[in-house]
Amino acid sequence: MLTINMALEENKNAYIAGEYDACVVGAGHAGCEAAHALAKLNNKTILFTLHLDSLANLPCNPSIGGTAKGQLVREIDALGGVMGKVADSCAIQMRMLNRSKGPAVYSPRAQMDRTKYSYTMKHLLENLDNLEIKQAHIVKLLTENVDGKYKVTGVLSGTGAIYKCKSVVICSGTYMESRTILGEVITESGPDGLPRSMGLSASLSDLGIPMLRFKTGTPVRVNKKSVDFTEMTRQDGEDDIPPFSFSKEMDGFKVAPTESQVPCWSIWTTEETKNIITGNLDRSPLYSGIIDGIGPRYCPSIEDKFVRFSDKGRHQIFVEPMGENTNEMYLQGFSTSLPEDVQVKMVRSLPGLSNAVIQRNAYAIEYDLVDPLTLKPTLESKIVDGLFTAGQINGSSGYEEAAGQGIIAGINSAMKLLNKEEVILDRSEAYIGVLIDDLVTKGTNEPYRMMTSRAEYRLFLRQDNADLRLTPIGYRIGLIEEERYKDFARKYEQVEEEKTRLRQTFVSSSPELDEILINAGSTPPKSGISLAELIKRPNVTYEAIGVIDKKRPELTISIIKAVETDLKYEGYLKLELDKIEHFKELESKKIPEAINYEDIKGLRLEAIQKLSKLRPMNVGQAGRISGVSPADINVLLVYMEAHKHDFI
Amino acid sequence: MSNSISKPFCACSTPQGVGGIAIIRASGSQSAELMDSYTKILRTAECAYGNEDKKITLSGLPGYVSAYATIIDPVTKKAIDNVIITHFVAPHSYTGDEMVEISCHGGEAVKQEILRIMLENGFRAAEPGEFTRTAFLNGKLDLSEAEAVMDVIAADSERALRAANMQMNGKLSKELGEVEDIIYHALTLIEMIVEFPEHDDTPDNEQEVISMATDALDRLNKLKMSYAQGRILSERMRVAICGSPNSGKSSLLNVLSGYERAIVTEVAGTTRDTLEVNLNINGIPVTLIDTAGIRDTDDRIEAIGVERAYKELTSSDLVLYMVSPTEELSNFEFYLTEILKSTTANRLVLVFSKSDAGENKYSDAMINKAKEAGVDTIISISSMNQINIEELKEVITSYYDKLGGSASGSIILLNRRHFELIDSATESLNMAIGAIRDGMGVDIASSVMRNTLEAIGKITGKTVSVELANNIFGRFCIGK
Repeated sequence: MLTINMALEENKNAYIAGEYDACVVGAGHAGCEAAHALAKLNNKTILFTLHLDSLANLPCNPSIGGTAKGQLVREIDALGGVMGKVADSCAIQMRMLNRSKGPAVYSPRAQMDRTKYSYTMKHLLENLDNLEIKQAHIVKLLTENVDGKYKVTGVLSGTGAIYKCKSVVICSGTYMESRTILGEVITESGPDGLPRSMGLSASLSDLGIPMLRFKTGTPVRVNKKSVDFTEMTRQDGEDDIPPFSFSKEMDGFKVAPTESQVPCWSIWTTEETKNIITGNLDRSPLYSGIIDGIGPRYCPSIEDKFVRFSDKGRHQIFVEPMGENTNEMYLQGFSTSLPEDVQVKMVRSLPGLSNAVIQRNAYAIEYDLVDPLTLKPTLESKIVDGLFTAGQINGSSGYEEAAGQGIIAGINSAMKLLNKEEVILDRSEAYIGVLIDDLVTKGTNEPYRMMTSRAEYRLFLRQDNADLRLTPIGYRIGLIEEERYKDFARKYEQVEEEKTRLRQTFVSSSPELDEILINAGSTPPKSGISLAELIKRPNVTYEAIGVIDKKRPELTISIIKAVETDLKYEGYLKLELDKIEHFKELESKKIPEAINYEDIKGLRLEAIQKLSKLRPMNVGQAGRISGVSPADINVLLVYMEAHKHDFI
Repeated sequence: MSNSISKPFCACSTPQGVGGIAIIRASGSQSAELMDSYTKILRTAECAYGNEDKKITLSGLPGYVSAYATIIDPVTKKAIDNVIITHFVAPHSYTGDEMVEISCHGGEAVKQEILRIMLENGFRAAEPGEFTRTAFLNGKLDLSEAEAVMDVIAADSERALRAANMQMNGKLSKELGEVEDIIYHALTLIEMIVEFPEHDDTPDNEQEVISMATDALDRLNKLKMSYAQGRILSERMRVAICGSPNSGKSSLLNVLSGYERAIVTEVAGTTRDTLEVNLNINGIPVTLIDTAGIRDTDDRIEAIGVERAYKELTSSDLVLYMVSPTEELSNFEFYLTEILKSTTANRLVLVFSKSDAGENKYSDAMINKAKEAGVDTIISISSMNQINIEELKEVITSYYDKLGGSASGSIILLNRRHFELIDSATESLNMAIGAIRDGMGVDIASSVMRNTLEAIGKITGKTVSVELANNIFGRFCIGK
């Protein structure tokens, strides 16, 4: 433990640089959201970054969104966060993934202009009241011991500046004690050649926080000039989709027309690629034992893909632009830590890339993180009072996962400073809730990537209704302004009005209608039928029946989609809500704090150990702990019922 | 703490009323020690009558050992009863805790006296199902096994017992576990389709998902159908006997049940109300209902009986329509039409009664009318001379056999809760298959299939349910 006084005594350069409500360490996607939320909620906040030009950096994919991640961005925006707004204004291509798979998994994804994203976010934050942004290397967390428990008092920079504060949010990304690995070449640095964070990890570990070490990686960037696109398949953007930001859409913002969006390209690895990789596996630090951090299963390096899916002869690679004012192209799906000479050969074995000029090498990066099992669902540490962590430091992977935690850490840090009730989103409310619950309840032994399959109620957790789910919460805590909330309320009034209109408007068979229905593989109605009933039919869309629905009002894409989804999936949504009700029942079943799991003989030993260690708040959470089975939970429930008079 | 859950508890485990013997059970740590002061061990396998030297106590008995003993009121020092008492040492008992089982004489007073002494001396009264709940909490059985225990206790026919035992032995869980695995596999395929949409090599598994879901659905449907038999096994088969007054309904009831349950007289309209008797026919639990004779009547009380008779037909599994040799054709036709308003032709059996007294002269015409109405099962009997009674029983048995459509030895759902859950599981699985076929998107199917899993999980125990966990033991009787 290092107190402010100890720091002043030990370090002759030490001085008190200022006093804040909250310090946010790290200005990546988590840090930016956390700082924004704190400042917006009237807390005097300072945001530290190792390098001001790399604020909100996109060191890997130049894209935001995708399956499950697109949902996260919409949720962050619905709560009042910034990622969606910035992404909308920096998008150079937008698409809606999974269009044919059903509304629950529709996922918006956009290519970003990387440098524009960074400076747009920086500028937005610079203009916020209550927020200072400072380039500094934070090396120590300052704490004191209050009644046997650590409590944060500030942070210490490498130059001796002490920033006193009541709350600290650490969003260190992949920077803590990081090293990059390229073949046998190991460099002690952060990603993109940026400085790394030193000392902070040890200062957390000293306080008894268990630390883990993960690895991740990124592919090469090539110069567009050297690419032969004739050998690639073109992928254009789409413009019939709403932007990420609900508020931007209300303000009339529209996604750029397809023709002015930048295309992406797709190719397949060749037999030669496979041979080069498998022939050089002995030089891979992954297999030679140089890398001991654990990598992400769902975002593996290309050598990992060839080893693990050896039955697959080839893998798909996407070639994506890094921005409008750069020639750099990103090879998605081709991350590697093989040596530089092998990388050159690998890249040049790909279609259209035989003359590729590599501008940045691929590399793997290892970094320190905290064990997320030591966190509360508010993202506050169970060990250090007032310490919050968000993003990759909690074991996640991805910009959107980081930002989702960032906003929650920022909000809860603010709520604590303001003595207000904490904000915990549950698994039936948001992907953000699923993400955080998974991390703090199950922990993770690899970088955690959000996937739609992790959400039990994804038919309800859609990207299109994120505002319906979360904007009331954002408004309640003060992140959503009055005006925007009114717009939101008006939007759903319009949705309801339109649904009513469609239910009450009847049509009967006509040549126009019959043609639409036959085209959709449906049959002409035998008698009068409401427009709502028509939309319920498979393959019949709101848009398709426009011809026979002359009196329809002009509505935004979002409203139309909300109306369509509500009507079309009514029966299925009802079943989903049944499940949610059952889920809520278990979530609301609080476990008495005095419970002694060792008294319950019917529990398996592993369950007793895990439950005793994690001490879940409710039966629902207990059931999600790995190593605790439904049978254990039944025992727990029966035990609680039998002993209900003993726990009052 | 005086009534704390951790205090040993006791209850009488045999039914209320007077029996030859009764069994009182106690469970909890130091159960035997608590009873030592009022239990005098008279004899065990090793220790002869009246051997005072050895001073064998109940708590001193090893596990699974019984003794002949006297229960003595500790206050009045009077002997209450001579009993056989058995000591079980934890964890080798039904509940997993220390237990004592007393087999005493079956009189109500004896039971009450012994229980009173126990309750006044360290025990508390057991809650309903508490013995089994304790066994569950001690890891002796899981929730679905506990539920099966209840079905075994409730089983009152040989076939019901066989079905319940099958469930207790985990056959139902095994079958449902396999269905769950199929659905989990289908869900995995859907996730592959959904999770990596940008990739062109993501296999389009929709057809495979449909075929797996259909396979699971077939198996669930089979289980669901078996409840037609299972319902009868758990709730009895209701067989209503109806017909004109004096058509021999009560006589048939008497001959089937083996004793004079109904009042049989020669006066038409004797049975004014419905009368029920429970019996087993070839292992099938049957409730025979003797209805009032159906006829137009001015007698108000009798009219109520007639109305009740029709109501009875509606809720019966099988209706025996009795026609005597003297029945008029017009009457027969009228009542056949009336009866078929309350039941269906496949549930109706036409029974020509009193075959010893001769044949009805319109029988050919009657048979034709019945066949026209779709009634296929026709039999001629004499209750007095026991003619074709076995054949009539066979009619009842074969109706049961045809119900499930399942081969013998397969699993029969006994429990209404299970049936309702399987029913809801098939409903959602059907929806899921339909959603894929209609192009609603695989994620809809995946969402709905999770409902299927949730329903099945409420039987296999994979779905945690507060309601089930809280209620299941309450459905037991005290002492179980």
